[in-house]
Amino acid sequence: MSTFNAIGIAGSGVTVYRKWLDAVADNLANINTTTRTSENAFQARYVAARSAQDGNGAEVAGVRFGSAEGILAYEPENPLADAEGYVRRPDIDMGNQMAQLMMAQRSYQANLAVVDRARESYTAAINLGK
Amino acid sequence: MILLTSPISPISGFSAIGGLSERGVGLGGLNGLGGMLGSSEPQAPQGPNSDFAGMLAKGIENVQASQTKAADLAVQVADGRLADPAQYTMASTEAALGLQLTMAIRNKAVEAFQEIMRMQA
Repeated sequence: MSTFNAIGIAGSGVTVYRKWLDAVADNLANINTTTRTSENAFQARYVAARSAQDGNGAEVAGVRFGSAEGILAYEPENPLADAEGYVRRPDIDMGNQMAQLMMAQRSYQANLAVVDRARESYTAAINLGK
Repeated sequence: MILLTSPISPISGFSAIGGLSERGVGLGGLNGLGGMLGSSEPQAPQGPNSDFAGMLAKGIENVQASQTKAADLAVQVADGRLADPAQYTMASTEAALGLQLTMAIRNKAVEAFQEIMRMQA
């Protein structure tokens, strides 16, 4: 509804950052997912955002995937290891993911703060007419 | 929508005031009086205030739509289908604000109507 546009715009941002949080959560959950060298490693998910096509807020343009090659790790005791003792680990840096997590969390909160302030402002405007 | 706007359609009689300022003190004022006395046109509001009536009707439809959306999302939250609970809280905030705005406008309209009714006393 265009009357209370700020809420809808901030809401689109909330959705984008929730998806980013989900992507980071998925990356962190799979940070130790090892695979055989014959298979692809777990690919980190990166959410690409863009401004919404209707001009109101932001939206997710798509999801990009990290390296399928991953990192070859020497773990001969791992049941998935190949003849040379190697397995594939995902190429995800935990420090990088934690930084992304913080950015996503703060941005999510910032958008919710906008919703809150917008609500307060609209309520004040409505009370003016009472 | 017509039910809501028709009680204040006598206000359209006050287009006479506009007539006075725009066309000078002429027959423009009588047109307004005709609108006030004439009971021959009980159908949808026409004339200078049809824009306002249309706006009001559209606004109420919007409020209705946002209420329905909030109610739908509430059901989705309850049965766990909604991935993003913030969407529900924002929709309900919007619906509540819309209703508050509608009530503020309605109270003002009723107040104006009563003011006009008091004029003839």
